[in-house]
Amino acid sequence: MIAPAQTILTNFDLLPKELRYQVLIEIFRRHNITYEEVIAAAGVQDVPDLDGDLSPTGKELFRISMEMEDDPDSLMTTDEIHAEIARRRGAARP
Amino acid sequence: MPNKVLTYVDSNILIFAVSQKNEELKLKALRMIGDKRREFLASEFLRMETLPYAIHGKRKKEIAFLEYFFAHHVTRWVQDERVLFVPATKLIETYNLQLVDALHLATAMEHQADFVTGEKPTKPFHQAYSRCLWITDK
Repeated sequence: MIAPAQTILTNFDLLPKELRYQVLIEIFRRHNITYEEVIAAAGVQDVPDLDGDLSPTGKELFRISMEMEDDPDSLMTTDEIHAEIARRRGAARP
Repeated sequence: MPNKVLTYVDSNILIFAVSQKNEELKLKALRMIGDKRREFLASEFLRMETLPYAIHGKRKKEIAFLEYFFAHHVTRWVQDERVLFVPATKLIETYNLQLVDALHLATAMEHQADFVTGEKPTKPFHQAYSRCLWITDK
């Protein structure tokens, strides 16, 4: 399945920390697999530093956001998000 | 471990973390929200401005995220929102903020918390409070 992903993860330590999240997201997205499956494919217990800065509840929020399927038509651009918040606050965004 | 930084997030940050199309921004929001060096403060205004809308829209992922955030991730709640009315009023008088903006900002200020928003630093509440942080792609 994830030969390219596995190659990336084999060299994961070489990636700048900032890029690691983005690499994993891309793997999640392209292969429709879970964090645990990525970790298993990499043959490691955990991805170094990926979770290092996250609290236990922060990890769970990360998992929910990245692993659950997006609700239909739920993704928004920044401008759309600001417009939606403005709508909730009863004001049209200028 | 040193004391955690008390943090209050604007509603847009919670939406960034779950529904932002731009993955870089989504990850920035998730990393900030999940940062183990921070603890999170919430008010009923923040909850009301997010969770009921997700429920109304039947957005399962957003509901799961927000329910978990408020039930498990938030460690401090505003005990009585009425204490926010005076400082929020002063913010409106001084900076012409929108009502809910003023209530959110007053929450952070009254609790000496970082206020994290997706609004640009040109917005007036950045002038009103030195501990405003922003997550933006611009």
